[in-house]
Amino acid sequence: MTTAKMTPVQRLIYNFFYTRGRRILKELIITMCADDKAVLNHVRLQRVILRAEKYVSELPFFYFMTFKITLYLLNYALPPLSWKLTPFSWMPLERRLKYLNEWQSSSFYYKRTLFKMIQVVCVSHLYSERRLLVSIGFEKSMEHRQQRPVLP
Amino acid sequence: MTVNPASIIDGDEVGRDYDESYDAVVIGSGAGGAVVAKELAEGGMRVAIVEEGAYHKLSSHTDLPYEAISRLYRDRGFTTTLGKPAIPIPMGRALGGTTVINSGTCFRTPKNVFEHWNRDLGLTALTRESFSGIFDRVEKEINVVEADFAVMSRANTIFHELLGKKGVAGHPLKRNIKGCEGCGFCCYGCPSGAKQSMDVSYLPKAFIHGAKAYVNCTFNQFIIENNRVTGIKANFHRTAGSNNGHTLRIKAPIVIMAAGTFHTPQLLRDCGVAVENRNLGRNLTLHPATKVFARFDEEIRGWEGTPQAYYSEVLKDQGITLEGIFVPPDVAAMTVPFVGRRLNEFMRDYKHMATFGFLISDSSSGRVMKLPLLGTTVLYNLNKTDVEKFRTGVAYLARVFLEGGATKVYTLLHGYPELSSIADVERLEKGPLKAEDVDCMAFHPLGSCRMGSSAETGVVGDDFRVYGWEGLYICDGSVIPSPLGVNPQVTIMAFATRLAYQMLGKRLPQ
Repeated sequence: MTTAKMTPVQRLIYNFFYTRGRRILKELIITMCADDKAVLNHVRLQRVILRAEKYVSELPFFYFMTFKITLYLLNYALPPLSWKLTPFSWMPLERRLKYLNEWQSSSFYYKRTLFKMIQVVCVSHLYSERRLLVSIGFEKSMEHRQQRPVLP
Repeated sequence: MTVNPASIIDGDEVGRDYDESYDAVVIGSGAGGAVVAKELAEGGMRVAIVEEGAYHKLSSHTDLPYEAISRLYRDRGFTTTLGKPAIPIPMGRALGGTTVINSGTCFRTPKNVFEHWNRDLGLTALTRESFSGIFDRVEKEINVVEADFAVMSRANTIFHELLGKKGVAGHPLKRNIKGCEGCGFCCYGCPSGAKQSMDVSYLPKAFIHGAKAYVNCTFNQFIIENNRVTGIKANFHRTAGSNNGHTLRIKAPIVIMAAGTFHTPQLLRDCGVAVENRNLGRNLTLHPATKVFARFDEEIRGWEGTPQAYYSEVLKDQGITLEGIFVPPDVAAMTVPFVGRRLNEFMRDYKHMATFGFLISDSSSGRVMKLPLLGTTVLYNLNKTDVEKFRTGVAYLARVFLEGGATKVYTLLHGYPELSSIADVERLEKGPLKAEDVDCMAFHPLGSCRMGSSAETGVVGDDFRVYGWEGLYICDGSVIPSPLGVNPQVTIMAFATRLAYQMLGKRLPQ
C-alpha cells in the first residue's frame, strides 16, 4: 500500500512504525536459521532485513500494522500469549529457538497464525538470497529469458 | 505473440484526462475480460479494457521471488481469508490478470458439473453439448496441449511411477503452452512467453482488432441512467500506486465486469448496483489445496522441469483432485512447519524432496465483504466435510510416497508434521483434526456473483446480465455457479466466449 492511499492518521502511524522493530526482525531472522554459519555465510543479512522491512511496508495497512504489533508481542509478549521476563531479542539462542517452537506448535490457533505471518516474511526473504539458494543446489536462473518481437 | 505498446494507455505516462466512447468497456483483463474483449473486437466492436495492474513485458519477469511477488501479485501475495483456517489466495494484478502467474493447467468443465447446473440449479442453457465447440475454440486460441514427460519435474514423474506400481491411473495435465522448456518459473511470470497467458494470447489479438487497454487505471464508478449502466469512470495511477491526478471516462452501452471473484461483487456494492440481491458476494468457493513433501534417498531436484504437469482422479468421487506441484525453495521454506535447525536440515535436503498436492471441491462457502481497515475481505470457514477431504488426501499421498520408498513425508497438517511409517499414516487417519489444523492455500475463488435461473438464486442470468440492470454484464470466476473440482481458467474463458458470441448475435461455434 502506498502512503497516498492512507488517511492522515494512518500515514502518521505508518511513518512512526516503518523502521521500528528492525532489531527484533534481525534477531528473528537469525533465530529462524539457528544462527547457522552455513546459512548466514551465504547471506547479506542487512539486505535481507531491509528487503523484509520494505516488503512489510508495502502490505495493506492492516497487515502492516498486524505485523509490527506481532513483532512487539513476540519480543515482549503478553501474559496470555507467553510467560517470560526477558525480551526475545535478549535471550540466548537456545531459549529463542524453544520460544519460537512454542509459538509455532501452539494449540492456540491465533498464536500459530501470527507466527506464520512472521515466518513467511523472515524465511522467504532469507531464502531469496541467491548464494544461499545456490548452496542448497538451486542453480536455476533466467538464462532462458528472452524478449519476443513486438507485433506490428 | 506480444502486446503492441501503441494499444496501451499507461497511467505511468498519461498527462491528461481521457473522455472516450466505445461500443463496450471491459473492467479487468484476466481469463474472463481478455477473452470477451478479443472476441468482441474481432467481431467488429470498438472495445476498451480497463486494468488496475501494470503491463509487464516478458523480459521484465524475474526469478527473484521477492521482486516477482511485489510486482505481479495483488497485496504482495498477502491476500488471505478471515476464518478457520486463514487461507492465503495468491492473485495476479497485471495486464493478463492471474493467468500471468498461474501454472497454466487447463481442464474442460467436468461432465458432472454440467449435470449439476442443469439438474439442480435450473441452468438448462448451460449444456455440455453447447460448450463443446466453445472449448475447442478456446483451446485452439491458447494452444492447450498435454504436458510432455520430457520436461516434467521429477516430482511429477516419480509420482507417476509410484501410481503405476499401485495400478492406479494418472495422466499428464493439459497446459496452455507453446515451446515450454520447463524452467519452473510459471508462478513468477513465464520468462520465455511459452505459457499462453492472456498477455501473450488473447490480448495481442484484441489489440490487432483495435481494442485499447488502459492500464494502471482503477475503476471507481458506473455512469448510470435509469437502471441502465452507460459507462464507467476510473482514475489513473502510477505503477508504484500513487494517484497521478488524471481520470478516464468512457461512455459505452455495454459494460462488462471481469475484475475477479473478490473484486467484482465489492465494486458493484460500492457503486450501489445489485445491492438488494442477496447472492451478491455470497456462495464463494475456493478449491482449497495443500501438498505433502516426501524425502527420497535419490536426488529429485524437483525445480528442474514443469512443476505442475501430472494429475490423477483416483479420489475424484470424494471431491479430491490430485495434482502435481513443486514450489521453489523460498516458498517451501516459509510453508513448512519448522524453524531453526530443523528448517536448515529440511532446506539442505530440499533437492531430495518430491512433492504432490491436491485441491478439493469444497462444500464450504464464504462471502466477500468490506471491513473497516481491511477493505475487501473474504470470510470463509472450512466445514467438517472438507476437513475430512484434507485428511483423506494427505493420508493417500503419504501412503503412496511411503510405500514407494520415501524415508519421510512432511505434511502441513498441525499435529502431523512428519510421517515416517504407515503406522503414522494410520494415526493421522484416526486422530483428531480440526479446520484450524489445516494449513492450505486456495487458487480458484469462484461463485461470488453466481449465475442463477432467477434473481433469487443468482446475481446474473444465463445471459450474463446482472438481474435488474440493463447494459451491465459480469464475466469472470465470480459467475461460475458452483465449484468445478478442477482448475477453472478454461471454464471462465469458455463463459467469456459464450457471452461475446451472444452479444455479437453469432451462432455458438460447433
